[in-house]
Amino acid sequence: MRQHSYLTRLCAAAYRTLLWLYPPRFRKEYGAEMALLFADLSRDAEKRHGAWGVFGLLVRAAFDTIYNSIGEWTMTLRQHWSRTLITLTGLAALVAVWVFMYLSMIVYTSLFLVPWDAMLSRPVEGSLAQIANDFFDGYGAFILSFLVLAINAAFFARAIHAGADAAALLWKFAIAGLVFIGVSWALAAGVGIYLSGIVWPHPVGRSDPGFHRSVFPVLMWLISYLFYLKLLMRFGRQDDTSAGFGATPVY
Amino acid sequence: MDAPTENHIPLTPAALHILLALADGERHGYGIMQAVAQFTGGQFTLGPGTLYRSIKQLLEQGLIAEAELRADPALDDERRRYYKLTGKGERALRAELARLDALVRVARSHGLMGDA
Repeated sequence: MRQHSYLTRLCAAAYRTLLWLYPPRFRKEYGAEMALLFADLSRDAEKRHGAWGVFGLLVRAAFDTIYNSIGEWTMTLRQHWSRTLITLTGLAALVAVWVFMYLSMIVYTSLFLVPWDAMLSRPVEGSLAQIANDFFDGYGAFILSFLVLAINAAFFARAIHAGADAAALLWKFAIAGLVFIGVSWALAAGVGIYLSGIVWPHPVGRSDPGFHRSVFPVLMWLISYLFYLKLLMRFGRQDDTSAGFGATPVY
Repeated sequence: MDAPTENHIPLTPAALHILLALADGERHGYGIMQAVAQFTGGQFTLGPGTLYRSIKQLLEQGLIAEAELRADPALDDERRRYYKLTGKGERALRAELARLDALVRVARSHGLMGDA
């Protein structure tokens, strides 16, 4: 009989927590099998690539879970609501999430983007440096936030053009947006705040609080955003199982 | 009455690979993933969520069916659910492979692919 190491069991426990993202009926039907499958995969990953292999598997499984749980929730909606209701509520949800995302971005960038001279810990000279200073201290937050929304709208249009079902897509983008806001604040703010030394002294943040106060939260936010963009890109693909088999969406 | 086979065509890549994996006999989820990795040389991978959502839809479509719960002696003593291809699933798989084969022949006739 093959044994599960402590690392494998730990990652399997983390994956079982992620399974709570699925609708209750799906989780009840397939949750145990999926947890067992993940344990098998993590045992193989550890054998081939060690601890990093297992960690990489968990990250890929987290993305797989978020993507598929959103798809499964939209399929659940289809079974209980009419197409008109799904479209109208989806549109309202997406608009609300995008407004929330915009405001969240403003707060986030205002908190963590310090002026350029504070990052460098010295006065800045020259017109370009002054522009950078104004950007990070003032209007940069609004521009970045608007850019994020523009990119989201472009991905939405791209998915519609690729033939994705519009009604379900509204809800997928809305739920994905909420997940992104939650993950970006939890991961980016948590790790960024810790390393920047804002709350309590940290060796990294202590050496240059201005620079690190900006860099680490922004870096963590960027990682969250790339994860989010990858999710949005998959929603327009033809092999999105929630579109059903064949050319016709299942309704 | 069951929907005609052509209603299930074209299959999604995930569905096609799962049906191919089951063509050799019953498999559990991990076995399906291993088979897919083996015959694609690791080029096509399925996440657990994608695998089981596809399995769920294939079951609803009647293209696969559940077999018995049993342990896999090569792994551990956990009882695992096995899946098998149905007659309808085999017909859908053959129809999809015929469609892909026709595409490949067209591609060859245009000099886009090497000889068989």
